[in-house]
Amino acid sequence: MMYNMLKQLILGPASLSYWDILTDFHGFLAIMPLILFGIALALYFSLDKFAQAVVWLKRALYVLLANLILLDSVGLYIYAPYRATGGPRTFLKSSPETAWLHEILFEHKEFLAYAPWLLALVALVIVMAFGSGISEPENKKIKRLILFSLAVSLVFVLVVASEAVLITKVAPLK
Amino acid sequence: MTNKPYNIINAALFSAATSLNAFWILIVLKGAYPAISEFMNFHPPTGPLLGLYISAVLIFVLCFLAGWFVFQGRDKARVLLHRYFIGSVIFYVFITLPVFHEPLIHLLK
Repeated sequence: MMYNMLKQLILGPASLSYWDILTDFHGFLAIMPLILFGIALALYFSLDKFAQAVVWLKRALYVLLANLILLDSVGLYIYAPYRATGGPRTFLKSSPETAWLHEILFEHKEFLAYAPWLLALVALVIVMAFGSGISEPENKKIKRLILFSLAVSLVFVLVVASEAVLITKVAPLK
Repeated sequence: MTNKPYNIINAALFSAATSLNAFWILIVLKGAYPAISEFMNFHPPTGPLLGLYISAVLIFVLCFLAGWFVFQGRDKARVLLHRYFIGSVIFYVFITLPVFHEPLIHLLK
C-alpha cells in the first residue's frame, strides 16, 4: 500500500504538463505576497517599537517587489496559451454563459494586475529614502503613504487572485 | 531634513501615478484605434497586453528619471503629488473595469 502511494506521489506530479506546472507556480507566486504583505504590515506597525524594524521592512519589501514582478512576468508568459486558438479564452467566449468570465473578469484581472508591483515599489522607495527617520513625527503623512500603498496593493492582489480562481475553475489552462 | 529624500519620493509618486494613468489611457486608445492595438501587438501570442505593460513600464522609468531632476529642491510639490498619487490609484480601480472604460472606447470610435 505504501509502495503504491509512493508511486502515485512520484508519478502524479510527473504526469503534469509544462503549462500545469507553470500555472501552479503562478498560483504559488500569487499566494506568497499574502504572507509577505502580512510581514510588511506587521513591521510597518512596529516601526516605532524596535530599531531593526525599518531594516527588516526594507528587506521584506525587496522580496515582495521581486515576487510581484515575477508574478506578472509568469502571468504574461502563460497568457499566450490562454489566448491561443482552442485555449481557455476560446472556450469561455464560445458560450454566452461563460463569456463574461473573459470579457469582464479576465479583462479586469489583466489590467488591475499591473498596479501591485508599482505600489510596493513606492512603499520601498519611501522606506529606503527615509530609513529610520520615517518614525519621526514630522514624517507622519509620508509614513501613512507606505500603509496606503501596501493596503491597496494587497487588496488588488486579493481581487486579482479571486478573479483568477473563478476563471480557472471554469476553464483551466492545460 | 534635506531635499534629497523628497526628490526621490516625489519622483516615485509622480512616475507611479503617471504610469497608472498611461496604462488606462493606452487601454482606451488600443480599444478605439486599431493602429495603436496593432503597434502594441509586436508579440502576437500575447497580443497587445505585453506592449501595454512594456509601454507603461517605460513611461514609469522615464517619468522617474525626469522627476528626479525636476523635483530637486521642490518640497512644496509633495502635497500635490500625494493627492495625484492617491487620486490616480483610486481612479485606476474603477477605470480598469470594462464597464467604465468601454464607454470611453465607444466615444472615441
